[in-house]
Amino acid sequence: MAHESRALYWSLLIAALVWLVPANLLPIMTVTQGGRSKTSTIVDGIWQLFEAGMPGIAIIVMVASLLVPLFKVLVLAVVYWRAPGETDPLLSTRAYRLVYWIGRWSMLDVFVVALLAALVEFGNLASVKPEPGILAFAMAVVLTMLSAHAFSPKQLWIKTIPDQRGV
Amino acid sequence: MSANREGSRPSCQPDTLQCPDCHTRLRMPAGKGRGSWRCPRCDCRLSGAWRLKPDSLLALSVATAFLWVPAMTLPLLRLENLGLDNSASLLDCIGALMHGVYLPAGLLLLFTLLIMPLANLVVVTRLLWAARQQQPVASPRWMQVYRQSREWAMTDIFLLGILISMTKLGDLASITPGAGIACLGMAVVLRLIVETLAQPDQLQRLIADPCGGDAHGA
Repeated sequence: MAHESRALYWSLLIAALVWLVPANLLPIMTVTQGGRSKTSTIVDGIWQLFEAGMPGIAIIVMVASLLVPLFKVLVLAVVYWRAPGETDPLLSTRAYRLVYWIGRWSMLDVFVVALLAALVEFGNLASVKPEPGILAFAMAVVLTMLSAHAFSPKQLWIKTIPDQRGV
Repeated sequence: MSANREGSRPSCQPDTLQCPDCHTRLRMPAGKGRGSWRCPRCDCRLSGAWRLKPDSLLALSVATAFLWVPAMTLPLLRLENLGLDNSASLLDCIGALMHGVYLPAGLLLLFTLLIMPLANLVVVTRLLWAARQQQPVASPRWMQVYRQSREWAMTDIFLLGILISMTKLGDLASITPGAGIACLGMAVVLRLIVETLAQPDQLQRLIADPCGGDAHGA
């Protein structure tokens, strides 16, 4: 039972990590304006916001779509790795709870692309089209969330509770 | 904050409960339902800082239900570009990715922006009604769905997405906010109030009086 769930949360996390590679390398959308098309990746989008003079929003997008997914995968990997012989369950539980709740904010970029694609539909004059990177990004976010679901913080406390009755 | 925790009501001992995260058996505090209460061992939040009043939260849920249909269907933003104009509602956004290879992403939007928020609304209303009537809910599934929907309903994140889209569109065309954005904004704020005040563990205890003699939920 414990082994099965261990295999499940690790494999979901590794799958998420694999999807993160195309998510960051492939373009997430193409903006056509006045006959000229420009495809952009996640990093390009953040850079454009910086250049447009909106550093505050650029930082929000950078945190939500670049730092949080990576940070979440790393923190979960450390928590999972330490779980079998956990020596500081409180710290691990806190780290797990933190990434559990911030992970969902990564969906931000997917929503922005969907809204722009639905809104900017003026044919050759101006249009926004989604690109495969956004799909990979959505997969990575969902797989990380599912991996965190498959893990239970109970496992961090097993060793420290003498009267543990079944897991 | 794990979702696969079981109900936190362990046995028919009136004054104790088991922490859902670390399984420590805890004594119920004297001032039941008042003040923030956390597990002394793992710091798991067992009840919020405010008292849970089913009546007023039920009223907020009903208000959210009225805002829900306009929030989904009315245009969020209107875009004007060289005499052409276009507007999009939340349903249009879901539809924008519902084709070709993007179908999984489209389904994900359907799930997080339509199905889960709706489930959240229905389930929290049902649970609050049960708390008000002091009649336990027959199936523990309601509470499970409530826990899940708190995480997977992402209309709050979508609202931030609208703000970022507006700044990105700034140089492309002129934008006017539509009626949908006001309805969605209010629905999101009401949902956040209800969710903050109706903590699942607290709600569970309110519905199922620990020693009521019924065997549901555990």
